[in-house]
Amino acid sequence: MTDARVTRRWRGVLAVALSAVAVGLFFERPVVLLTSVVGIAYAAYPRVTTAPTPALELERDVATKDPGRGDDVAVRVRLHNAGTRTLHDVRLVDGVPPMLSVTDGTPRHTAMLRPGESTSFTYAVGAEYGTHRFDPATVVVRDVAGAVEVETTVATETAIECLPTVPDVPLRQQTADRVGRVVTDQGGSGVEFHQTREYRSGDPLRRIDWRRFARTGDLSTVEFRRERAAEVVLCVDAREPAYRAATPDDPHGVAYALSAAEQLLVGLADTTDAVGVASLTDGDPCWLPPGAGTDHVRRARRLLSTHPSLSAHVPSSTDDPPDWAAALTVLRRRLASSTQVVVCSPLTDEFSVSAPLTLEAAGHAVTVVSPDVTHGDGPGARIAATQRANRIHALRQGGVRVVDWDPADRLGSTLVRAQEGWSA
Amino acid sequence: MNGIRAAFVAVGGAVLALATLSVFGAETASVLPVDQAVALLGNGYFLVAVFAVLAVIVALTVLLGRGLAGIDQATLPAHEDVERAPLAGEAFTDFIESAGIRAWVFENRAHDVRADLREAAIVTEMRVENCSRSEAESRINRGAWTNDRTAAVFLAERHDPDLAARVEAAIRGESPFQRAAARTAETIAARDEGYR
Repeated sequence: MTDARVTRRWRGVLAVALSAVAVGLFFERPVVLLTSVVGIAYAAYPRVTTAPTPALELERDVATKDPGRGDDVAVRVRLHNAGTRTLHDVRLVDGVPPMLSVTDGTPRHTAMLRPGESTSFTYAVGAEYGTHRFDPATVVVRDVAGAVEVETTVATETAIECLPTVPDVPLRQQTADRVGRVVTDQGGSGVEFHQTREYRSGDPLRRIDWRRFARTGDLSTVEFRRERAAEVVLCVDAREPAYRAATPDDPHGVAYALSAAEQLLVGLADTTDAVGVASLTDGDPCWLPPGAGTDHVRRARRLLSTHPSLSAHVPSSTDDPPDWAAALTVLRRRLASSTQVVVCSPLTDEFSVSAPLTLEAAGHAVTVVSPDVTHGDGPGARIAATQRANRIHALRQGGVRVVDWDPADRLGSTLVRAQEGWSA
Repeated sequence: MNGIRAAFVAVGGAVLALATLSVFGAETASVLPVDQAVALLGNGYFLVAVFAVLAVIVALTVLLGRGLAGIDQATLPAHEDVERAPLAGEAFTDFIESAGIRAWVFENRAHDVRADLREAAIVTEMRVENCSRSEAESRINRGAWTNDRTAAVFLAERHDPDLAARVEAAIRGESPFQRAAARTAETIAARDEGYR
């Protein structure tokens, strides 16, 4: 985006020049008359000059690409004038990711750049959970008098990833027909003992319970819990009501939900489970069917951090009522019958309850990972916290597993605690 | 276009040079037919008046234009802080903080706020007391769910605030609706927090 404009900054100088002419004539002072030339020159300048044509290149380095939450990350920005004209007044604001705040220095910089010249500056941001891509830097180039300016953006791909490892992603028992790590209630080959049953012709000899045969003379077969791979879709609730924050300084619910999905994706990447990604959104949803392998996981991570429906920027409200039911129907059509769904949602409205319950009722095992964004002050925040607690209760009553995540804690430790609660 | 600009600059430069020479060099000034030009136009005062009127018109136009449109230059974005999102429960807080007039003007919104609070109270009651929806509704309707009279009356089937509540709200400079909605929200939240 490049936008050139006349600033009209010197619009008033023509009146000064005409006044000087009138005063000079009245008092018959040629020198006063001559000073009006300065004003006329300023007034005429924007008309006789062309807008600057900046050709700029941006480089951005971050000191640590995978910091811990709250760590200061130094960002060094270098702006290079690749054009052939001197840029007399260059003002730049770096595109700090929307969910990060500047903790040291400033992302603003001013310089004069001759052709081939560069300028650089450094500032620091505080790391937050998730993958944070920098927006393009905004640059304004003005001529010497500031009468004409060009506003443009200069982009370079830079990201800060703050994704703590998740030790074990707890999945439900809904699996595909492939060997994997999810211990099921189905008997067969495996490691964990399940039951013994009457011997059937064709059962392998090594699974016959020989001790029981010696004791009773009856042939029985030992069954182990089958271990199967799961097909999981990580679904991020990115509807407008999910863009709610606890305090003005905190990231919103979609940012936390997105970071939860990314952490779960990374956790599942090392397993035999197939994982896909989706979004529940007001507009065009994100969708990648479950799959496995390094390339697939890379594609899924890129989708989570770049898909427009998962933008960290708060969407502007529209007059048209969104059709979330239709979005859910589209998602349901895409899910295979054996696919389980992990919904990452701050649970800030009633649809965030009805959607997981609908999926659960349709035969998909659903787990909800819910970042808590209701710990603010005031009656509104308190009633929002109670409504969220009610929603969690309703989901659990409907058979949906819920991981209640306080973003002040690591998601991994919250998952471990939740898993202990489910197996107790 | 660039040629025209260059021509303007050349003519302007030449006129400026001539003017400078005529101011500081008497010989050049005597060559220029200034007196004849002034006589042709009328007199010197006529010229003064023309330029003075032009100056006033331009000054007024500029002042008016600047007042209406200001300077047309870029405002650089502020990226220093986390992009602000609406806060959870902010709509409710905003409404009850300004509900004095709004509650009367936007009666539907007031009705919705009360309906939301009532639903939250019923579901919280079901969860806390482990009871059915009808039992919870009955407790809310009878005002038996809390000792807070303001909250109990606000969510009861007939919810006209009593005189004491109106007086208490007036003393605090609030409308009865504001006071009751805020108290009810706090009471529901306290019931939930006591349970948790």
